[in-house]
Amino acid sequence: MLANAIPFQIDNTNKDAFVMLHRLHHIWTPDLRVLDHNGDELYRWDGFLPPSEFVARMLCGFAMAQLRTKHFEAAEKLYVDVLRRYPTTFAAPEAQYYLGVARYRNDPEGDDLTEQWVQLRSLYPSSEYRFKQYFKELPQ
Amino acid sequence: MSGGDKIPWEHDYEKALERARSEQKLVLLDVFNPG
Repeated sequence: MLANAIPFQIDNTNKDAFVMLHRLHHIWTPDLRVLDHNGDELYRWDGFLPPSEFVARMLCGFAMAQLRTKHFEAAEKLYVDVLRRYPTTFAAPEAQYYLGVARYRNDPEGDDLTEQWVQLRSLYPSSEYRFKQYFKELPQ
Repeated sequence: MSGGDKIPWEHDYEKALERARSEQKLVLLDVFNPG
């Protein structure tokens, strides 16, 4: 799971870390972020999650990091993994939404964006991400 | 994040970034409260 990431931990009671925590605008624990090798933040979430929700959220984080750095096929694989292994988690609608985005960015001429968002409407009709693609349903 | 005894955490920011750069990996940052 962590084969493609360097795990880095900060104790928020360590006074030596206060400057960095201020710079990170840290406010709550656990505070988890995916960073690139320059320290730029690509994804974040906080608060405790049960194991399956945590793993699904972390996979979405790594997927978004790949998407933002334009590694579209790597992002696609991670989103597919979330949907295959954790389809009932709160992270799943996000994976369904951005799976379409990853495929679209990889091949703008393809139909995958629409196909994935049809799946989103069907499988996760009450999710926030379903509303994010609502413009696709508006009369032209 | 649990399982701290199994995960080889880095605790130095610059070292974590240097490893990410040389190993072409991302960094997973976990800010935690031990209390």
